[in-house]
Amino acid sequence: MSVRNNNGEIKQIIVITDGKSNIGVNPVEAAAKAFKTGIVVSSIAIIDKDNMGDEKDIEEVEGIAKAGGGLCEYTHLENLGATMQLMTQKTAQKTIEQIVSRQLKSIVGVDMNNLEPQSRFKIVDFIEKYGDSINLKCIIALDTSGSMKYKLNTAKNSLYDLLANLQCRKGQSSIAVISYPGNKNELCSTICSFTDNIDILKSKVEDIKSGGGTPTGPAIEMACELMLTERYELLDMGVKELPNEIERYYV
Amino acid sequence: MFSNKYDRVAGKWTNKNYQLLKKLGSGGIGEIYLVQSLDNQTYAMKISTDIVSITKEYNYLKKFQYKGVLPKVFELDDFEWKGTLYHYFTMEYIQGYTLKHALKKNMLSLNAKISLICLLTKIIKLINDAGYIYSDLKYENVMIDKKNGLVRLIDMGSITELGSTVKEFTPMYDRMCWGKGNRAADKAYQLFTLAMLLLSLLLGSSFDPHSDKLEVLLARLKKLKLPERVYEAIDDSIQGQIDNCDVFYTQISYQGSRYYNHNRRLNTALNIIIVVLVLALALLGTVFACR
Ligand SMILES: Nc1ncnc2c1ncn2[C@@H]1O[C@H](COP(=O)(O)OP(=O)(O)O)[C@@H](O)[C@H]1O
Repeated sequence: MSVRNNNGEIKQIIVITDGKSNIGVNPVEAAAKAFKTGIVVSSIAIIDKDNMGDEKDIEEVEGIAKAGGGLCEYTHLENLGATMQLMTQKTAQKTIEQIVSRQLKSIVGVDMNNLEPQSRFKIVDFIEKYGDSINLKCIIALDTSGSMKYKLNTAKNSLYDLLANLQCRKGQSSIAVISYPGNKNELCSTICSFTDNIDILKSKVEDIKSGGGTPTGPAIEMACELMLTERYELLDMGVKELPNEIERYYV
Repeated sequence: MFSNKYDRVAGKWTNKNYQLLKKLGSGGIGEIYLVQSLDNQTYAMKISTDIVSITKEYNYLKKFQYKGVLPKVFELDDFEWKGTLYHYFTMEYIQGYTLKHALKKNMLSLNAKISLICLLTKIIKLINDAGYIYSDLKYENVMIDKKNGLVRLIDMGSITELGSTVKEFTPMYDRMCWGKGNRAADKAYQLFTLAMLLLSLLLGSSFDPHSDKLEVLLARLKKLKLPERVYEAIDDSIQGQIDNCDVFYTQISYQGSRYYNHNRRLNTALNIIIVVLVLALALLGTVFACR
């Protein structure tokens, strides 16, 4: 059985937040737009003892995942890394399930639910294997508003954990990071373009600072753009990607 | 999911018919019910809407039937309930309690704890040898069968192919949470879970990687003055230096080593004293004889 998803890779945006958006376009609409272009948007709400999330916050976080075709989780800060990992892998698995299910329907004319239970084993096996070997591109949109001040360090570490774990997969995985609000009064900034190198990720993410409002919607829009342009951190791509000027020096 | 105690379930493919008696528990992918078939047999039934996960678990349960450690499984089937399609499988109902309960009640002797882990190590070796790891090993997934006191392992949901990534885990048993490596599904990961389970059993408490320190826990273990080999097996596995169930098994099943070591040392000491005494007597003897 062969599966073709555009380029055979999973594109996912994970929005991490500890509150409701208050600047720019509606994040639920932004997520819906992203989903239309084949990008899954999931959301993680960070909760703590004092902040179990009020109703409005919850509605928005769940709305983002729903419109984005992704998953929604609430987690305590210390479990953020693990939650991101599980979410990424679950999304990969779910996407493949959907693809396989569609293929099955077009080949055999039934979906898995209508297949006799004993005949499901092979398909399930396949889904599991493929879920681990498909390539994965994941953008983390990280809330860096004022309220994140004391959570930021742990959040950064969980990004490193995430990449370290994705590295154990059979398929290629790279992550990128967008902060909202961004640097220098920008609504949001690409802190790190796609990379599979932890050292690069660390050097880029290290300097993220907190402060300001919560422009969740613009961050999702920026993530979509980054996903479509596929910008990589230079070192990842080797000489091929170096700008022409540099090449001229060496020729 | 079900509210009425007398709800019935009928398998779509097998036509098997069951009456739900009570809920036994719930977990990651669904719920477990105690059910009764038309011929008055009782079973445990796992019900879920996640077709992939439940099919996978059923498959692994079938695959690793080993000396009755895992519950026996019967059919995998579907049923519809209020317009939703559910999937279920039936398995042997284990009348008993989980290890968590046993520990709370302080029901296990030191020997019982060690032999329990030995048995688990054996079944996990079998899983490893087949090319998988059981990543979510924990108290809640080990049951003690009241009927015969046997150890039973439940919940095959976390079985993962060696060489891929761990997807189901509990922080206390997860080496990454303790800063001891990543979540690659390898045998060293498996040994870490076994070692943490044994460590926790021996110390009689659960741990939290966010507030506990491994060094402190190991120091507490050392104070228990167990056989050195048991301590080493746990320490080495935690440090990622053991990746083989056989090695772990041999080291922890080596019972009474402390006394043996102790005695051997004592024996050597006694021997030396005797030799010295004999020599001294012989010397004295010659001295006297010379006179
Ligand atoms: N075969 C069984 N017999 C009796 N009780 C069971 C059986 N299987 C599961 N249970 C009960 O149900 C609970 C949840 O089961 P588990 O398989 O761990 O669910 P999940 O995989 O969804 O986490 C267990 O803690 C146990 O109490």
